[in-house]
Amino acid sequence: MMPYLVWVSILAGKNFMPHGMCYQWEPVTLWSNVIGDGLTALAYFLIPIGLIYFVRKRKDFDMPGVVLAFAAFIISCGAVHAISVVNVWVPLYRVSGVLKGVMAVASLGTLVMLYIKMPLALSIPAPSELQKVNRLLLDQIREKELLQKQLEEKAAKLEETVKLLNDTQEAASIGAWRLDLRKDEMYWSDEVYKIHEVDNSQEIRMEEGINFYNEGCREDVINTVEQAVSDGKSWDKNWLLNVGEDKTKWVRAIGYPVKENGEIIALEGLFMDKDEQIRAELKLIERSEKLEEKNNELEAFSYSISHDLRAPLRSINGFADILKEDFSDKIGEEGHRLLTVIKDNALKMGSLIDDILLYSRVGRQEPSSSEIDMNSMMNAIIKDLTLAYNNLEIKVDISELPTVNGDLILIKQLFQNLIDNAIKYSSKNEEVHIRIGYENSEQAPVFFVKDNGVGFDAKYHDKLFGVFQRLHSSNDFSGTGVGLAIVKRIVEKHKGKIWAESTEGKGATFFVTINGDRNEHK
Amino acid sequence: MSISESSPIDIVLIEDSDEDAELTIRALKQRSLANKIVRLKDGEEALDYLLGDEDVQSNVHLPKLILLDLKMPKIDGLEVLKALRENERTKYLPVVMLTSSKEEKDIVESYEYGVNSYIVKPVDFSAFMEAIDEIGKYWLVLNEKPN
Repeated sequence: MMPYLVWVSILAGKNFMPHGMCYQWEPVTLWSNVIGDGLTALAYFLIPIGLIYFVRKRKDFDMPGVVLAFAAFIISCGAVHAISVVNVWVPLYRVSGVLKGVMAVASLGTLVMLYIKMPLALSIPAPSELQKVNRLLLDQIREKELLQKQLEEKAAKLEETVKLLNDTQEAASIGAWRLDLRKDEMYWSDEVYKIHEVDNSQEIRMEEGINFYNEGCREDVINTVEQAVSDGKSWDKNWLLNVGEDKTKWVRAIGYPVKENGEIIALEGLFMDKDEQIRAELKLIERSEKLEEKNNELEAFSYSISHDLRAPLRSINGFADILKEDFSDKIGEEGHRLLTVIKDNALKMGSLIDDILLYSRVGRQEPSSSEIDMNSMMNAIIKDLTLAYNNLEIKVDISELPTVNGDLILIKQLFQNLIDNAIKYSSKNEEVHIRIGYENSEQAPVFFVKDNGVGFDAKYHDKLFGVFQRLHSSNDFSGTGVGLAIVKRIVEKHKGKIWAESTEGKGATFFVTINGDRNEHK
Repeated sequence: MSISESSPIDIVLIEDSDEDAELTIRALKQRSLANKIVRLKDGEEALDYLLGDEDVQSNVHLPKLILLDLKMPKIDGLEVLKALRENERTKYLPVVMLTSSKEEKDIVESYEYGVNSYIVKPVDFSAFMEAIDEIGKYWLVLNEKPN
């Protein structure tokens, strides 16, 4: 082992004095220097520990080199201070020199490193700024979350709406479709598939679409779609689809072009299952055509009755008259009476034909509607009838009447028949007294025609308005038995009501409403 | 027979029913309204008689009045009327429909084709006589027509 002094001489170099000598061992100077250097050295040795701890903990800190260099520089400073303490008593000035060299290298190295890393260090934001940024970031995140939530709510709502739309489509049997002309792509909603009775996994190609249509309407479909593409014409048509085997289905097809910058890029539209409805309508059309046909037949029948039945009657009548005129002296009184019977019956047949024709015409004819001045109409009827019954004393009381809506010709016929009846069935009285007026009711005015004639037995009330039904013999009162049937038809055509009240021998009153729904007309 | 061969006539009666024709002629004769009456049985005969002779230029021989039944075999009254109205010579010829039909349709169509009057033959003979009398008086005596 080398003695202490040998080590000292190696480390200290020459035989220098310890540094304490410079302080002349004066305690205050010496100890203030020793304690100052010692504590500084202690602090300098402990600082790097903190730095190393920092570097190891903050792995994300991207300048550990600078910190480590700084640690090395501090340690070397600490070592220089520590050797200064030793040098007070042991003059290891060589060690001191070496340490100062090390310190210089570490200092310079740190200096260089610091300048190199300066821009990077400057770019590191201050914690307060980071906090600000952090807050902003948090705000943004919160906002984003809020938006996300709203978006989710909207998506949920949209889903609900889509579901509702689908349900509606299903319930209404309406489907939507779109034909993209640029991509040549066809979109069908589920309901469209359902209407076509095709599985919705099947891809529908445009060219195949036409095959779904019934042969009868293919040409129209093609023309319609071509027109929509070329002229931008929309459509709304009923077409027949072939679905399944030997089955057809009516659909209402609506389509319209979709334009972008004036160019037609797609066709969109709806499909509706209208099978039941259209079939019902077609049936209805077929039925009304049949009805029309029957009506025409009836009209032809009426026409021939009108023409062909009247002509022979005219002959019977005419030739009976000729017989009376030309052979008056040969046929005698009884002959004249018999010829008159023939003539009367021929005339009666004539009025029967006229009445039956009128009855049938009223049944076929749709009444027109105009406002009728009942007062002037009644006056005209009474004027005609008093002329026709000029052998009778007729008194007519007529009150101011309200107007009605109806077919003037038919309404006039109605009251003409009623008043004619009233006069006819009162004609055996000394004075015929007719009262015409109306009573107010909630719906429509109730017109009445009252006479002082023979009346009728209320028990046969239901036979009053039947065709060919009579409650009096034609020997007592002439008539065809069609007049009141015509009246009833006219009233029914005007959605009105007719009824009668009577006591036999004490006159009759006929009540009529016209346009029972007149409130709807106003 | 055609117009040019016959002497001037007053009335051409176009009527398919012999009975109606007889009654009409009787009525006209009784009232001394027409001296010369020609009766034709249907539309075909009527058109042959009135329009058949293309050489006839003047209307001197045309009757003063045509009484035309509506419903007739072969060519009916409306067709006769239409043909008469389409022909330059007969377009102003007075034509009176004398028919059994009261149908609105017949009346309207007759007027559309330019009938001068539409009379429904009454079933009652005295009324019928009255009607024929009125027609004759009106068209043969009162009415003025273009020459």
